[in-house]
Amino acid sequence: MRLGLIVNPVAGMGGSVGLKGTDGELLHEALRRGARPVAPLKVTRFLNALTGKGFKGVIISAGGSMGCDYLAGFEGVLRYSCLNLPSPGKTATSREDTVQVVSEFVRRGVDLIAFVGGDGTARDVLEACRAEVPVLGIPSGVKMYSGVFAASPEAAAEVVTGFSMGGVVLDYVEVADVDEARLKEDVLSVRVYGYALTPLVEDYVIPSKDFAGGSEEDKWGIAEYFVEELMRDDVLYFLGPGTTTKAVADLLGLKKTLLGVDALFNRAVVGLDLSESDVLNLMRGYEQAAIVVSIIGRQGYLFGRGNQQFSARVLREVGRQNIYVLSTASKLSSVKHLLIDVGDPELEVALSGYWRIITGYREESVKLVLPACCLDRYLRTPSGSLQSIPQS
Amino acid sequence: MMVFRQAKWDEPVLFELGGSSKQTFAVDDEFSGEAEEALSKAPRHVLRSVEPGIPNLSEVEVVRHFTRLSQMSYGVDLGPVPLGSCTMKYNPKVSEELASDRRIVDLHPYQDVDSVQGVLEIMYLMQKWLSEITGMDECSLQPPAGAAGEFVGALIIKKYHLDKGNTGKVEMIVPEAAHGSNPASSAMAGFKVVKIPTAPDGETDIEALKAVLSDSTAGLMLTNPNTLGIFESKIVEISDLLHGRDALMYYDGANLNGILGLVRPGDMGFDIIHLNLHKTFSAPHGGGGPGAGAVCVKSGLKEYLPVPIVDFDGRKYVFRYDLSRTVGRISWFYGNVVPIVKSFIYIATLGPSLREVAELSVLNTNYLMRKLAGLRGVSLAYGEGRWRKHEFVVSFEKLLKETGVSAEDVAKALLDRGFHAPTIYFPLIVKEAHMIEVTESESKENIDALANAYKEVVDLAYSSPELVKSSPTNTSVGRLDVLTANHPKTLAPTYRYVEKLKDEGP
Repeated sequence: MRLGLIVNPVAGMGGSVGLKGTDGELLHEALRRGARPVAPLKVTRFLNALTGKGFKGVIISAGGSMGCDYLAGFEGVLRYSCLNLPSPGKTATSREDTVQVVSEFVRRGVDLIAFVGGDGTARDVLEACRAEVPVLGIPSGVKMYSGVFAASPEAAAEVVTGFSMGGVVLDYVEVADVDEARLKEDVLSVRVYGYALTPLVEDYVIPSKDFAGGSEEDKWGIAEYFVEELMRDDVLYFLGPGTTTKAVADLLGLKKTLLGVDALFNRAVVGLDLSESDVLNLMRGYEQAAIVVSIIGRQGYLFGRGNQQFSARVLREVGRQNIYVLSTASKLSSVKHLLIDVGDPELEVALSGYWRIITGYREESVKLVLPACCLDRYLRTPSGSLQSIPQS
Repeated sequence: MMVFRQAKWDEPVLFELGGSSKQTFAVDDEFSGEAEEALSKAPRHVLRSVEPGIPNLSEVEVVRHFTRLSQMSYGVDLGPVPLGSCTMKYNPKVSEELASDRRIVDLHPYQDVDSVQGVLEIMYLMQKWLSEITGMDECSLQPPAGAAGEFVGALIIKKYHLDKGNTGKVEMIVPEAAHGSNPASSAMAGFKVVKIPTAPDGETDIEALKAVLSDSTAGLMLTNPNTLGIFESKIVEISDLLHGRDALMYYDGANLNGILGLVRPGDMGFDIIHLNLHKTFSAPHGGGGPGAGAVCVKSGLKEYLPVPIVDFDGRKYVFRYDLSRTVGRISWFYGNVVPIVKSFIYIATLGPSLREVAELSVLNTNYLMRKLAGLRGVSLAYGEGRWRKHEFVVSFEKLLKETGVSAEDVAKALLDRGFHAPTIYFPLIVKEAHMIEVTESESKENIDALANAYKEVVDLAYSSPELVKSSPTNTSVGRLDVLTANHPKTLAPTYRYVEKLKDEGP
């Protein structure tokens, strides 16, 4: 087992001084405010835990403050070698260094890349490894919206050890970050930038008799059920972004953009990476259209985040009965209810209510969908019933 | 506070004990000639060329081995086992003694029914009693365990609809807080599973139920009181909704401790129920089994029951196999008879006092719930201010946020204080959950001791969280590395597999 290790030495420095990150210019501001490095402590905790678990693999590490400094000063026993990257003598590290080091990891064929950092680092790592090599984040950032992070440095060591023993499930998870353009407008909005392959280990949940082995994400089960029993001929299907909808295309052997809206008709691709107007134009040529979407984990957006192509106009034309929502059970359980935010209160209210979400092979879960416009009108009374809920 | 120290033996597995040969085929000199002659006449292919790969031990070594193992394990005979939904009550020794009688354990399934009238009478009475307890009309004791009973129930629902020509009845509705085996049994029977959420008051979200009810609905699988220990107050309305769609109501009766003698599933509108005799009716389980199930139905579904059932023709007890719509067999022969006998003894000794089982269980549950819900960092996730029935669920989410001590850490610390851990991280809808059930068996003193242990652990979490996180230390085995412990390379079901792992190396 060869583990690539890279550290973003400045990651997380903004947190304690009230900054939303340490990307780009923010680092200077953080230093000005007297921020201290946090990454070194996280690396040492990770290395200690890794030694404690008897890790037998080899670590290939970035040089200097991006890795080898910590290994050289580490007292435990670990086998490692150092890359000559970033160039020795460089005082400040940059995102280009991260990209360069990770590309070198990929070239050398490491089995797993562990990085110390936050969402910004995750994006840089993903850019370089292009989801070809599994990635695991050792949390040290200010922002950590992405799904690649272990719970702690110790948990990361646990996952790495498990990975080296084999049998750990790999899956694509969201690499997300705050939308910087919108942040400038003072709007905190999280955007999905891509999907990284990550080893997933259920967080210390003891398997009991009722759910032995923990929950295995079953995107294939969802896709098979959809294709075998729900998909019909002569209907135009728009597949929204995400890995769950991509599984549908994968199952059919068709191309699908991960972050875009694509169209299928009679099991063939008829449009890729469509805009809202593309969607509306394409619909004119077909009798019936349907939408297949997934949800954004933790935030629970059904429409309005990451899939703005499905605008109020598109949704009105397609109609609720032709919308299929796919989500793994674990993703669905991470949210209390789902949200629709398409800037059209009347439509949002009309679409709210209990929806069936496809969560597995021949398995559906019912979830309450709420209009983002008017949440206050839909708060639950203590007895559990809704004050007003549109009957569908 | 009682101090708990568990024995720590470096006990090897049985196959690695001993060494020198203690087993032999001893033949007196007087008969050595005959022995050799017999061996020489034996067909060559039945003679071993190598010794069998079995432990080579004397009787006393075997006894000591298992005694040591028993000293390193824990069970209801040692202390409380508050596993929610598992109903780990005391298994009365009188049942063990009577059921160990040779007239029970030496029975052979092919014996003529005339020679087994006694045990058939027990089975017949159990069918009647369980019907009476559940408000159903007929029972079959065929299922060997609870999930098998559930599967039977799902098959009955399927066959019922197919017999009426309703091929479109393909959906089974299951609450998301249900036992994990409910969706599994439904899927095995060929149903699509539709999960409905729980409302904040801890009951099934009836609006969500109404939203998914359709002509495709075949049935609803429900436990009442549910896994949160909360009684579904709208159960009659729910039954009416389902029956209005010609869908059947299935009751997961794995655990009846909350309602025994107080209210009957049949009166709530349920059509089918399965029971785990090894839970409510005190036959041993959890490694001490085997279990036994029963499945009971309303009269209209009687012909669908698995066969055989026991009948009485006025003169003698007989097995009946001629149910016209039977879903068939769910196990060999007549189910697991020994636990049926133990449960029979349990019911017979209690008689009309059976109701007190539920009354005491509910009292014990709420007494403990009130004590725990008042602790710092502990909350009731659903149904605040409501009474529980047979069990309750508390969340340590706040404790985790404030101290870094998780529900798992708390459970491990309970082990150090002489208690078995409760069910943790279930139901899935409650974060950092402990699902606790003390049954009728535990005394007030024991419940107080458990509550004190919880309080001690929670206080410790706020003062020295690292001490909680490093527990258990008083047990035979310390904190396990969860990932490694569950990994196929470290879990060995047989010694042959252990040897295979040794060959492969780390």
